[in-house]
Amino acid sequence: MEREEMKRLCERVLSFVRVPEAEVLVNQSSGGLSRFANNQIEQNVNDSGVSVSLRVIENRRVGRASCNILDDRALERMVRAAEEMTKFVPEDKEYLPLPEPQSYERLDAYVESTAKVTPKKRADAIADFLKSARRKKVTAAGIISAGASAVAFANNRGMFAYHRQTQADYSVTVMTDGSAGWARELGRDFSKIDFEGASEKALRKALESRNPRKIEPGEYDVVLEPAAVADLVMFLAWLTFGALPYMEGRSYISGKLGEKVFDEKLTIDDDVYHPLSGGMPFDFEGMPRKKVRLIENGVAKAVVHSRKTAKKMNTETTGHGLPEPNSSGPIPLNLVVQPGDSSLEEMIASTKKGILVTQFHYTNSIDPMKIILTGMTRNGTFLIKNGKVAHPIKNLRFTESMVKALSNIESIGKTLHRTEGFFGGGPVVPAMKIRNFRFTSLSEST
Amino acid sequence: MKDLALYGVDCAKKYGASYADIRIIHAKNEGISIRNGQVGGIDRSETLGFGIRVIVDGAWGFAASSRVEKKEIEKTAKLACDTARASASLKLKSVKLADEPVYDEKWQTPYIIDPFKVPLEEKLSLLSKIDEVLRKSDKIKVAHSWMDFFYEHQYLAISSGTFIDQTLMRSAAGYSATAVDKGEVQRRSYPSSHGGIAKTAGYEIIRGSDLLENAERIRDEAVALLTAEPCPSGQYDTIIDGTQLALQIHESCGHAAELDRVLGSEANYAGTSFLTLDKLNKLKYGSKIVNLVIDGTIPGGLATVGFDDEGVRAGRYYLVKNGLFVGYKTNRELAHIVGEKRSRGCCRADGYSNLPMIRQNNLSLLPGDWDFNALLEDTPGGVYMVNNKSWSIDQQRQNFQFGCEIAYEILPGGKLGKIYKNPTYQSNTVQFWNSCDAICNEDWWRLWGVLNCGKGQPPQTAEMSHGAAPARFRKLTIGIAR
Repeated sequence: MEREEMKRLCERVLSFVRVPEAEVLVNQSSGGLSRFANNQIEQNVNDSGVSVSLRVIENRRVGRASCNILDDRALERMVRAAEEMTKFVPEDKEYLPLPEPQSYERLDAYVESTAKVTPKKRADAIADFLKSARRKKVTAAGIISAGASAVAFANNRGMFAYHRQTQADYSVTVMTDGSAGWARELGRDFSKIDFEGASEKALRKALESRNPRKIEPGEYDVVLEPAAVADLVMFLAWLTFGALPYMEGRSYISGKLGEKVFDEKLTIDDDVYHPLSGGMPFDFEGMPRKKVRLIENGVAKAVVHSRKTAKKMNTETTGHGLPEPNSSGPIPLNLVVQPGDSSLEEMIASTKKGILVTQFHYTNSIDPMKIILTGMTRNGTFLIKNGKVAHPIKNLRFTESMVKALSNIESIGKTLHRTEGFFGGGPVVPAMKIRNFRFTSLSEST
Repeated sequence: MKDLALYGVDCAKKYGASYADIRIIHAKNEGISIRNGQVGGIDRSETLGFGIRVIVDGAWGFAASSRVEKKEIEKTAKLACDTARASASLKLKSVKLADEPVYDEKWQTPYIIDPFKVPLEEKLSLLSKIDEVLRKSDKIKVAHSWMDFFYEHQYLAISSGTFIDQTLMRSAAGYSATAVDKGEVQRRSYPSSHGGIAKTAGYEIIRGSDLLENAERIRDEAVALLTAEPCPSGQYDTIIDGTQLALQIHESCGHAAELDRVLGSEANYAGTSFLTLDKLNKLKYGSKIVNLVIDGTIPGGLATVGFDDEGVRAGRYYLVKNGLFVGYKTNRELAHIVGEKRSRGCCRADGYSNLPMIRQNNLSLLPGDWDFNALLEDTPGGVYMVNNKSWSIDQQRQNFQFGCEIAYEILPGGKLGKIYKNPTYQSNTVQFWNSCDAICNEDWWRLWGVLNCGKGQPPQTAEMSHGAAPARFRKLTIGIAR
């Protein structure tokens, strides 16, 4: 939806409101996704929709209601439902008046041609690879998707914010009998997705992973490809870098701002304006999203804020608030790990004995304060011996503290990639080499 | 709505569909939470939309929209058919659906009190009382209590002539207390960490619950965990409570037996499964006392429906019988792969905008014959673990590692001794279920809800229940994350 259409919808919703303060959030999306498996498309879907969410405040009491039905009757019903709540909910002791209009940095993230990709174009983009996989007697599975989304945020103090973006995603797994390889390309522009490169990478990984050998679990130096790094750093976003766990003493860096908490090679920002990031230039309070340096040369520099947490810590919001009220507090949604100066090849070449990890699977947290995580290796795990990839190995489970791991960084990759962890997020990350990473058990799964 | 649904099927046929179904869904949701005395979250939402699924030239297409009007339905039906043609351009084999009788029926979740008609004041009052009790210790830094209600009115029309008008109602509530001191963080939740008390039912399950009565105990346990010893490491006879076994069943049995996953449809995301077709009726999945049943009809189950989202009547089937693996979760497309003439009714979608796919149904471990106190007495030196805190399992559902909120030392004579913090256990699915030598009886068996099961690309969330009683596993490896 175009800016003016979204603005009219916001104004229409606000026109029904009878209480003093109100803000409206509109999300619109349309797109399609083809899911292939067993070398053919098995699921092929399209969806389009608009959703509206309204927050109202009267006498410091808040109400929220949402709907996706856009006729006046439904919208008014939504407004009354939100207003009714304000009669019953407890007073918000941390109440802040709605903000004044803000100005936002331009973030050009919309590619018209990506918004118009058809099911046929999706099929055409993968046709050659699926035919080639059949000929090579390997099995390919994956997704190819393209779509557009727009978000608008307005309040009855005159604030209006609008952003639209496109996203294209290609993810592919290739399986042989007893091995698997994977690759992914994620970006804003469908035409710039390297379908052939990703497919070839997944195929190569699968072929190189055949006949894996068992190795004993234990501590190994690891070379983590960007997807594996993404899985680990997303837990810092969820557990460590938000102001709420920081203030409540639930974050590893609680009380440690200004102290060295990780290896000095590590610098992490939250930066929606990075060319590889995806996201919007304002948060769910309508405040401009700022670039925040969270870790600089291993030193904890900042956490991200909403208006409420900023007030409590006597600072300014960084524009990372979620829709109010919420239980999570502000969260960094656009982590960028700054690159180092090593190539993946150099990391491997410098390793006497270690493990190369393509991807982690189902990583989850065990202890938030030590940031102890556990997860499995997947889609290409190899033993490195004397500076060379020696042979594929069976998948291993790691159980490791990120405090220890990120204090043991030996080198950081010089190329950045945008990717996702198993539970989502879209950080921009390099490869990383870490000393003495702890693997605790073995799996027969491929 | 029936007219619009039938119109959607007609449109799909006009654009070339040999099979079509349309689901028009009107849904309402109310979520409320109190966090540290403040409103932590509140929303009343209402959505309306439809999804059309078609087969054209032997391949699938699906399209959905939130504008339920004739012009949009026709446009969306055409898009679904065009999409199916794109699928067909790369197809290797044509879709074949298992037969299902034609129905014209109405079905509704049985409930007594409509939760959407219960005053907000009453709900907030209970949550606030719980919150007050939880925060009576200054070590509790986060008290979080919540309720969630969901209503879904579905109209399903299928080109075979089936029309189903089905209304589902779910109610859920729970809470957690997070204690923090000197760099230690410990959480306890009640009644379970993944869905609290959660059922297809009305508000009666909350009015009749013991939520408030347990708040003090949960608070005190969270605080006590701050100074507790870490869970010991080694191989211990371990009794796992139903609160944790529910997720164990979910991850190591439920997902592993989804036939689409077994056949590779999930390979790029959640993974495949070790339960390959050659293992059907051959694999000794667990010990002889292990019986796992898929049941779409069990009262209160979060996946309990009259019909699934492709019009298959809900049923009850064994997945593991006397330890032997005997059946998969199927849909109409894949049932024939395992030689079955009918689907087992496991095909569900997340709302109107997503494609129905094989989802976990209610899956339960049938009760055994042990009294819980007798089992404790029979396990001196063992460990009793309660309520899930962390979960991770490999891509074929073999190697898993779970963390629980709390564990107890089992003393000689069956008394519970000291508590342990950060208990974890790790094993492999078949080894684990074969080490099960005791399951408590039906007095200790409860149905536990899971409200956040993820699957598919684009990701879908589904809800289901798992019944379980405490059970014992011999020489389990515990204490990995000391």
